[in-house]
Amino acid sequence: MEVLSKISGILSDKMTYKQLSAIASAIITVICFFRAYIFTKELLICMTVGMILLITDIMLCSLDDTAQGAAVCIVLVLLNTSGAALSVMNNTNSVKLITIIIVSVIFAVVFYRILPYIVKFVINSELGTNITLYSMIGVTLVVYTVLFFCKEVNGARAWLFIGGISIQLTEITKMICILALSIIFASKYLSTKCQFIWCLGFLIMNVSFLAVHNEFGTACIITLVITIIHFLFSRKRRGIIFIVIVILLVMTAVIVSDVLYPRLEGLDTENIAVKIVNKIYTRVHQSDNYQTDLAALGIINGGLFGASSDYIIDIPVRDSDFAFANLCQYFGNLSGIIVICCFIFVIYSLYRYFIQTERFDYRFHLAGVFIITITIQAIIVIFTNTGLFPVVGIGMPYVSEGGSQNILNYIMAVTIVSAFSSHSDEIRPLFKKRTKGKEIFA
Amino acid sequence: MNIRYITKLKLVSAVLTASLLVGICANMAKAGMIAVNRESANEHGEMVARIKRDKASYSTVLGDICDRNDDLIMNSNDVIVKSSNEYDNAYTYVLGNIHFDTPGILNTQYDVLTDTSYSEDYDKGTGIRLTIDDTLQKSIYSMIEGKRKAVVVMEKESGRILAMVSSYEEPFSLSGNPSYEQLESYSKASQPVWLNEALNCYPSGSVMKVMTSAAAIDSGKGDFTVNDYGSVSFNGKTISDSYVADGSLVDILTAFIKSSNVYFSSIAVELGNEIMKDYVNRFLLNGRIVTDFGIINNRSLLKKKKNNDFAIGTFGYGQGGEFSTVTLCMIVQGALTGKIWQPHIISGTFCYDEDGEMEDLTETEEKVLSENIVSQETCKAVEQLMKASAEDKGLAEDVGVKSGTAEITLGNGIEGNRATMVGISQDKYIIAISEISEGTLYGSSHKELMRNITDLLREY
Repeated sequence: MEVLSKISGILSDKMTYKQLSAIASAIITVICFFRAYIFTKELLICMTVGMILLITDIMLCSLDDTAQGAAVCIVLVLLNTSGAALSVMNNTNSVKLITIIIVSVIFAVVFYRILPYIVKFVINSELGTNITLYSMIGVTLVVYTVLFFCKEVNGARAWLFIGGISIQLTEITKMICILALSIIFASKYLSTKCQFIWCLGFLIMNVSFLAVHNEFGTACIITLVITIIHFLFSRKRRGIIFIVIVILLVMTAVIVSDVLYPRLEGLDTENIAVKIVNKIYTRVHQSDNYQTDLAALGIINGGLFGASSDYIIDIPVRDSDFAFANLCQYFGNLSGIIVICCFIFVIYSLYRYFIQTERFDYRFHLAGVFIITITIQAIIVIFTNTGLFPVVGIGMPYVSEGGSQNILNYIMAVTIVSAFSSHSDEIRPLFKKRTKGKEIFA
Repeated sequence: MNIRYITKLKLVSAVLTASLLVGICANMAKAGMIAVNRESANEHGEMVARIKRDKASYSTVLGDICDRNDDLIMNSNDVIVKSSNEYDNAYTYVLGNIHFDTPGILNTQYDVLTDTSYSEDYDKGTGIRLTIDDTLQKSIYSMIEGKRKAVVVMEKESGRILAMVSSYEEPFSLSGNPSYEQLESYSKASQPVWLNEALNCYPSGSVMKVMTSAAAIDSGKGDFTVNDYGSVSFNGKTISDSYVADGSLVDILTAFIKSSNVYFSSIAVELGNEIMKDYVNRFLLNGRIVTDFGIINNRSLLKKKKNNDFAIGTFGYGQGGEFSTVTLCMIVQGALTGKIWQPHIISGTFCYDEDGEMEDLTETEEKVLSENIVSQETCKAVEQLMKASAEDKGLAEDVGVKSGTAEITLGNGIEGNRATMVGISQDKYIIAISEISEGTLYGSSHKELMRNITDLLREY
């Protein structure tokens, strides 16, 4: 990224991208938590959380020393820091917040360390690929079975409660599905037909169980991610066939729910089939309700630079589903637009990365799957908050609260940034792409 | 990069980027930062400005709400949540609380109340007339204020609710005079203090014996007797009475008055899985009931295809499911009339004509949700049982009651009780009382409250 190189050059001849992204992260953290302090007047909490976050951000920045890696790193830090500052402004328990950050960092470091072993023993071995994929199916089935014994929260069974700690098990199944997707397309030992069957298998298994557990938000994300990833990475025309199959399945579900819904009256609403039909129908025919009205008022109340603490619209589920509207209210609509631009930049960097690299290894596929997952999730939440999509109950990556999602966010951030590092020799300046890109394909 | 990826990649990137750009546009449009829909943005802006002016958490200028006698309960200029001192009053849970997302007609009927199409005045939404009687509502509220208690009074032969009062007890872990913020934080953290106790579902206790009696008599088992030794076992688990039994033979009348768990669990097992499930479905205890003031999520333990004897017995004496206070009224209604009407608190809507006079717009139709539940002979028999129980408790002749005590686990993990009592007064009104308590509390302790309410209804 030329702009970064120039700034780096102006600041010091010896300044690296790593140092530059660390300085940018520090500035972002100070701005976000200064805003949080102005709002909450809780100096100690803001400083403690800010410092811990800054340390983790610097750890992330140290992973890569390329212009593109640094740029993506800054963007992810901006998203993550604004999310954490938002949590402080939401009066989230600071001890819980710090614990989540530390646990997430531990998980991310562990994942980063075992990544080379995954490549060695899973991707580069036929037996390893098959054993891993079958194991993933087994673990997914076990998790969904455990969910049958968990209690419902807001109509969906997605949480396991152990001694005061709640774990969102559907985040684990989502993570497994994403990893499986990257393995399916990174492995040299799976034919196009096999890739198609594995993808369809994972899609049907996850969506069926998630429907039974009434967790349509995760089902929606998994369906979109698998379909787009299969379309992107599959050979021949199977990608189109896959999309057609998914569209037909979704249309069938919608039509069946439309036909059956009027006949549900008097039936046992605890019945799983009745619950599924109910849920699909109400989601598809969901009109504007007071939740989205309040979110709209929150967005308006935010103005350009954020609302004052004297008057705040209490947006429902502001820490997850309506986190974007809440961000617009607390940080202003300018921040909302910056956050959307961040996601556009992430997509753009993925595009740059794809057209420049010549090595289609595991990290390549993993980074692709992760970036597409967070972008889709962000799009759904932004659309939900602005009234363009029904409320399906999912959080915005890096901005919404939630321990399980935070762990996944950190793992994704580490993987995406380190992916650029592994291909540092192939990465070219972002804004010179056209001519040099063509040279590569020539 | 391999050429085969390029087109697909461009397409995917373009779609995702376009979606995010749409997100930006939608955000800007919503925020009124661009003049895509200036009018709509201004409208929103005015609304926010109005709320700011009120200096209240939330207030919207809605349609008027009046009681069945056209006495105004909420004027459109009223602020719904005015200050920290007014978070609990006679109508808090009937109207609902937008701030805390509690069920109530401000949430369920928001579209009606903000519909200004019938109004000459732009600010005035459509008015709603309730079935509630203002005097009755306020009188009952004054009787239960400060306790975590709910009272529902319903007409016997319709779904009209004449009073639906909920109050809350000062949260157990908070002492002194908790601030609004403390309550809000506490509500979110643990105990649902803002839940409408009239809709909140907990085990019913022995009040369920009204349904079990009706099922038994209607199935021809009214002459069933059992030797009550104080406990009985099913599937290796024991069900016990709450009193010392002497092993004597008890019939349905004695068991109903003494509230024998042994008798009612035994008779439920005698009736068997299929019959009990049939009556559970007839009494609508197996699912959710949508009303105009919120959703009642009844949960019965007899929802499986096959249930073991212990589950059936447990249900028979009142510990096998979770039911709201409104549901308790519906159980009595089903047992005493053979029908259950859809409970409702809205009798219709109205607007104002040019002279400022109320003009009716719609009227709520009575809807029967379940009929032929039990025969008319059974209804009379159950009424006799309830009147005998009332006589035993020293209540008036025109009153019939059944009390119950259920063991519950509160949201903070503490064991507590739900003390319930249902009654019939003057053969016209059904009353249900429910109270949640951390300590030991028995349903029969509501005797005085029931006496006061039935006295009130006599004057009504």
